[in-house]
Amino acid sequence: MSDVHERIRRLGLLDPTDHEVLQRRGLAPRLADVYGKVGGFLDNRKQNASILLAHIAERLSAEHGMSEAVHHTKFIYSRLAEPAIIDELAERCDFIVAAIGD
Amino acid sequence: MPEGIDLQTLDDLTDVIELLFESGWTDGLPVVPPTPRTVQRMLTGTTRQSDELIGRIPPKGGRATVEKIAINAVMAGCKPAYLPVVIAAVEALLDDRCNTRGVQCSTHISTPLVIVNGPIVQALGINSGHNVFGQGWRANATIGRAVKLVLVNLGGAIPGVTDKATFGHPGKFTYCIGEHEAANPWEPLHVERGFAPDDSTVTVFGAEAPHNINNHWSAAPHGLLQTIADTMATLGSNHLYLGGESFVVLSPEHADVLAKARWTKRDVRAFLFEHARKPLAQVKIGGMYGPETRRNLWPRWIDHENETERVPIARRPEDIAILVAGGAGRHSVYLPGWGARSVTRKVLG
Repeated sequence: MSDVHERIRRLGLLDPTDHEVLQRRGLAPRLADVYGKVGGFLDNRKQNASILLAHIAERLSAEHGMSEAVHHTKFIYSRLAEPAIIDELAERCDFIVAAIGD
Repeated sequence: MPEGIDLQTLDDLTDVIELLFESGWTDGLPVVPPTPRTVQRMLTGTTRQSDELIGRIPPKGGRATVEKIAINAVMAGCKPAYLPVVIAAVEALLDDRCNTRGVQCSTHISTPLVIVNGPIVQALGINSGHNVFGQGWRANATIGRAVKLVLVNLGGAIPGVTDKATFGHPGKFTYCIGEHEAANPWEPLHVERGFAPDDSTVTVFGAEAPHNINNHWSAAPHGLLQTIADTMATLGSNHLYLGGESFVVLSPEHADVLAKARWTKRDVRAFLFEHARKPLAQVKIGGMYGPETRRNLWPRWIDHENETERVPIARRPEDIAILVAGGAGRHSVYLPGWGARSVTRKVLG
């Protein structure tokens, strides 16, 4: 908790956020390397996403020893991936690369 | 000045407001400090339990309990009587059809608009007339603002971090209107959606800023609606590529032109669906044309090989919603969306 938030807490004001959840939801822990690891590649169907992801997978495999690439494509970029896709990526992969923004 | 409050107290209050600016919990305007007493007073506006979980606000999933919503409503300047409207809006935003996660994070400009229908519009003094999208009405200003504070403070949609809007628009401070049911020649939005006229409802819809439609001339439906259709079908809008719902807000005078010619809402929708279109050749040079548009987002009957095929801004007439609001004057507005849908919820006590 920052100094400011601590001062607000001491004043007795109520917190409009869900501090615990907002703090917890950050970036996933990073791997030291991808050697021998299985990578997931999630194409969100933005223009050229598939090309970019194929290239990244190729480089990670050829230059960094990634053992396997698992590719999936979402129905549309603006929505979450279908649960079956998320479950499979979570089960099979050591790391995920999702792409791309605009 | 209320009894027992002196200048020193007011100076202290200013310091607290400054501290709240530093906290990152505001929208860039001063907020009312959420003390246990002010929040308790806010909670008297609802019969719901303060620990009731309404849902988790995307993208980060902060828990929107009734109490957390009340805290944000205090900060926005709401009266306790407004709280049920804010809660209903949050409930509606959690419906998957709104795709609030997408609206919160997209580079697109849209932000949820809150549309209020039913007796609560009059009871709370929600503006549905002159300057309906503008300033000057506490209920509109603070209900809309409370919803935005919930989205940011509990959803974690931080501008530039998780909220990637390239521009955003002023409705991200507050965006709340009432429908002008007394000036509506047809059934109001909530009745059209199966609620009773005496029900009070909230409809939420991720919308761009209002686009003005000026037609001072047409005394008959065709000219007026052609003007509206022309404003709706523009190459820079999401709708030609993604479909989804959008709203036309007719002024009372424009609605009157249509009603006097005995056009129903269904007639208006049918006309707009037929005329708010662009030729395929133009759409191809426009904003979001590409393999994805061709893949699955257009109605199947569109001939992708025919350059003169006229592409509609929606997949079906029902995706063009019609409201009546605003004051005197021969203007209406168009509210393009993001590609998602609106959701209506009953306001509970």
